[in-house]
Amino acid sequence: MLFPTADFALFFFIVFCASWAAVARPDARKLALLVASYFFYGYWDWRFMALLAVSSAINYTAGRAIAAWPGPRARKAALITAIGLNLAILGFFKYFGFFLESLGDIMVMAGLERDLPLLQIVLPVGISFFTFQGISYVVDVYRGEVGAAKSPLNLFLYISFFPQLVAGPIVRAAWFLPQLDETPELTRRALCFGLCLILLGLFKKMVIANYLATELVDGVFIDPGGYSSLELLIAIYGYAVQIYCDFSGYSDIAIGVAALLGYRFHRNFDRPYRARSLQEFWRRWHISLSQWLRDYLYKPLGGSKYGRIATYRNLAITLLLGGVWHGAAWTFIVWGAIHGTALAVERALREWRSGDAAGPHTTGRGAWPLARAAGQVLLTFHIVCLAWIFFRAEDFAGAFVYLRQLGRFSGDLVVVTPFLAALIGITLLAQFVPSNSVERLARQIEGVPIAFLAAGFAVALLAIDLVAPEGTAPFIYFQF
Amino acid sequence: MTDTPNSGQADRDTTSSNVRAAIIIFLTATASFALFGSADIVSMSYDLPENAWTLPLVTAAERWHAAMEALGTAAMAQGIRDAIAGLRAIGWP
Repeated sequence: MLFPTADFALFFFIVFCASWAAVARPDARKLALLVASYFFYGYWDWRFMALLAVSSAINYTAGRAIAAWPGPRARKAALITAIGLNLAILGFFKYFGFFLESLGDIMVMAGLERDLPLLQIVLPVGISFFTFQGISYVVDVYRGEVGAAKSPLNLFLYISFFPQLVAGPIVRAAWFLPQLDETPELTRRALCFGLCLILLGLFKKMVIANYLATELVDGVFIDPGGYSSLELLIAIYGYAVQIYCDFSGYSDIAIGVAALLGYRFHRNFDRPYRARSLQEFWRRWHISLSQWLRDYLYKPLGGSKYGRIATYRNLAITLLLGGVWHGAAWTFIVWGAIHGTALAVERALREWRSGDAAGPHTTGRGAWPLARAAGQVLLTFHIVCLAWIFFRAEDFAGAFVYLRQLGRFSGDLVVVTPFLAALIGITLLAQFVPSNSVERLARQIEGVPIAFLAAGFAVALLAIDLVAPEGTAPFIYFQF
Repeated sequence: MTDTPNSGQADRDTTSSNVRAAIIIFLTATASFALFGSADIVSMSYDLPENAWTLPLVTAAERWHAAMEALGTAAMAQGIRDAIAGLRAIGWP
């Protein structure tokens, strides 16, 4: 069930009414939300509801064992078993086919051609997201950062809560589980905030992302050899904007929907294309994944505690595995390698120039600092765009054709219209609006009479529907 | 400051009032969509599986769209779509 559909609107209306009707009976409310979440998930493929339940059961049992078992070795064994099972499930569904295919290729190269078993494994939607939530839960219980959930209902709902189930944000147990033990409230500000975020997310996805995908990016990436360099350059800017609007739009809707149900999620994107460095980019892009990788991979690897070489290695490994997380393809690995290498080089340069790896950006007034900041933003954006070529390309060959054609310096503009250029330009300029604009808007309109709020929401929703291209494209991050 | 039983009751009343407000907002949006998005409703009804249960829904959607065409709201929506299509078709000078 996709967010921008009539099916979801009807589903959400029923869930909204039922959950608030049961607000005085917490367990009944949570059970209703759990049933709704499994229905939401089963709407894609009912068979995977069992997978979700098994994943939740593993993490619930492991959390209880870690909390109850006395010895550190037993607790560690429970943790390792739980992480192993989570990764085994993820690995089987997401990487087994890739592994067999790569093994087959290697055997052919070595002259040992064999018929390997062919398995068509369907990737369950959102498996990467709920697996990461499960791992973060058991690790946090082990570290003592969150208590083990006593009620299976709470843990099962935490893993499966439908707004963030299939494409994040990856919500931490320490943030969400305590909310399940509170009586939820719907303040007027939360209502306005939720509605504004839903409208913003729908606009980003249905209008900007869908137009750029259907009228520019998809066609250009199918046959990059058939377009001029200028069109390819604008198309990669277009993809940068498309994937941002697609993914952050989903996150906005998820956070808005959760707010209407009385739950608070952290923001998942914070105007990433205004970043002046790769390090800053990763603090603004898919924040919940960046923080997950930092806390459960980079830091356990040693972080920046064991010298420069180890730090660069840890950065590279973290981003490389971040790339693998996105999918079982070499193009994603190259995407992660570009980010990992660029982060390591950036850190080395900073250390070389100032001796302060985590030093702040140079600030100040005047033309030079402004020009320097603009240069840093442009450089960071173009490194990110270079990596996006590999992320979006179907395979290596497609990415290399794209890069080769990009270097031919031809300047015809046929497929890029002023309308599409305006969508790209406006979205990039919007990276420089204040970060709390939605919160401020919600604060400003919370006193508006309901009749005007209702009329405003209806007009905005209708406008998005009328302006958007026909059809509903799936969200890019559903495949991860 | 500590919570009193009255403050808890006030929170519940505020929440109930905002839930009612949200329902009004959702229903208003649905009504506006029914008025101006009748073509989409027909399109959605065509996507339903064909059986004895859905046939009356398709007929009702078509009748509703015809009524909205007579009222002029369907034409207004189409006018906006045409304007957007015109914007998209503009080329470089």
